[in-house]
Amino acid sequence: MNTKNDLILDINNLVVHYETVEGTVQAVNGIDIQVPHKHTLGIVGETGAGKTTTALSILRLIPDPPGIIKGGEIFLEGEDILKISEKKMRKIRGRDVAMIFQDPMTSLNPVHTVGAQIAEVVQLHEGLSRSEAIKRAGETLEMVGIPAERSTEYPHQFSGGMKQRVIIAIALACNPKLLIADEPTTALDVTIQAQALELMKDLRNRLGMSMIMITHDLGIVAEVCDDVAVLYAGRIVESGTVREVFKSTMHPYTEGLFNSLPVINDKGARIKPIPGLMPDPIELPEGCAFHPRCPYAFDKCTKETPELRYFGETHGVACHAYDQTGFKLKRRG
Amino acid sequence: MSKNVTTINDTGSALKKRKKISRSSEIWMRMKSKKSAMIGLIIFSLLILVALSAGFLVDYQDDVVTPNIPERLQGPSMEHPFGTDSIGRDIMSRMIYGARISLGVAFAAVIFQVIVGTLIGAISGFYGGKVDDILMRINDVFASIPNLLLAITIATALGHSIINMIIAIGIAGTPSLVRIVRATVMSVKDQEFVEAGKALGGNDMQIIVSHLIPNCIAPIIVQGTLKIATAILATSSLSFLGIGIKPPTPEWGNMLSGGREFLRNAPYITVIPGLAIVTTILSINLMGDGLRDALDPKLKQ
Repeated sequence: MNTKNDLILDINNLVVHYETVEGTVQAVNGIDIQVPHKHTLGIVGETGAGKTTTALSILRLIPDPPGIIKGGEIFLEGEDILKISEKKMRKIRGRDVAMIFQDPMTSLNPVHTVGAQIAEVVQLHEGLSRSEAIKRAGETLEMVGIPAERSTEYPHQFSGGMKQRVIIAIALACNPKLLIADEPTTALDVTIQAQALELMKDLRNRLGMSMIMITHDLGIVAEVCDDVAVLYAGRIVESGTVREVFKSTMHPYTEGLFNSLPVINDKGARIKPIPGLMPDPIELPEGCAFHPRCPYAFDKCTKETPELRYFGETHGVACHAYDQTGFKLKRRG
Repeated sequence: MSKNVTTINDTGSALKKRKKISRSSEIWMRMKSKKSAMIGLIIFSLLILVALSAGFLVDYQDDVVTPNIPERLQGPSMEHPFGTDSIGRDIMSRMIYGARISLGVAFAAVIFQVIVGTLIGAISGFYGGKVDDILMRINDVFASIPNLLLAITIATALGHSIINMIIAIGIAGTPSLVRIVRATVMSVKDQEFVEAGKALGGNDMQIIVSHLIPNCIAPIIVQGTLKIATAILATSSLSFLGIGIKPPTPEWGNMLSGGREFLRNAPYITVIPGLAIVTTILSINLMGDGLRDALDPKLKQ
């Protein structure tokens, strides 16, 4: 395992709730995440599993009210960012940790040129003069494959894929140590997705960043990530290296995710979706949150919440089924 | 760099060759296609030109303020195209100087409204909650008093001077602008680029100034334009009532008021400033409507 010093990000037992009129939304219920330097972690889960909430808490940008970080610690290079002042936090945002948002169409301010938007971040964090910042903006655009001359153009003059490149450029303008990408390719079409991913991979390797890739696309995880954490109802149900989770899947939910994918070399195969829906996060079922949809569920699952247990050094699974000796998922059977 | 990136580079330069239409010229094209808007714009530009060049056109001491009793109450003629008033001053010259005061006060009042209104509206809309409640209730109090009544009250309380009149008209017109800016800010602040701005380390002030206010510019311009018309009317009304600009300084409102006694024998003294006010306001409204359609084509449907 990695020692504490190697970690850029270390989240311990993070709990985030949204307190609304209808009740308390239990978005994140005790998550542990470790990201070593120069590693990429994929966070996978359905809509509403708590992926974005986790990402926003790393930047301390949970909308408050109604969101409240109930407990836990988030260490960024050894410093607990939940305890520092807002002013200090602003210095970290954009400089140490940058975020790429889901929709490139709305993430850019329509009334400023793209160059000005990149320059703004640089000016904010590095105290460069306006002209130096503009020059730097041009260089950053070149880095993501857009000619520097286009920095005087407005977002509406760019296509979706180009806008996503601009957003990547803004995020990378200050050489962040950690890049959080929240479904960066969801709004793009498939060919552009591949380009954007390729670009992000390339830049990550060149700049030596760590990255958190939030997605519901297992293909992207396989493509880009080193480690993966599968989220269900605000908890990690399975985590490990990509190889461990993909090749020796252990959690019934992860198995369900893989069964929901079409298989390319078996044309007759039917997709087997997971039955049912994500539970309402206001009223999570008792015990394991997945038990109402789980084909392997037994008594204990309805009563006790399973803890993450480790098989091997890095492969963690939260499932009671492994209490039974010799238990194996059907997929691997 | 990888292969994909070079292809993108190529399309980038290809795009560059295409003739580009900037946003402002696009707005101008839309505006130009509307006749009424252009008529308004031309009339209003002429008025501004006249007001600005008043000093070259007429001599203030001789033509505008010095009485010339022998020539009193003359009808329109070659020498005095608009006639002379009750103490023999040339109405044309007074109109030209009056334009300067009327438009000047109105512009200053609208600038006051825009600055104060945008600031309060943006803060109120951005922070929401208690801040919003408090600011908006105060705003509602001001909005609930009829504009002119509020302006009269403030002008009387502050005393006679051009500056006080600007403040009075400015305050009276601010509440509606606050509401418009607040509404726009509220619709913009939930968009992702505002969150992205926060995620990049911007503080509240930077986000308001560089992200929210620029996105409210269109409605502010439109409202500001239309408000100039209201402000001109308010300036003239206050002067007409005798709490605005005092004679002998010419102002359309007090000229109108000065001609009242001679309405029977010399109607032109009253009619001409009245017509000037009507034309100005009409031209501004036409221009403002056109501007609104040009800035936000979606609104038209």
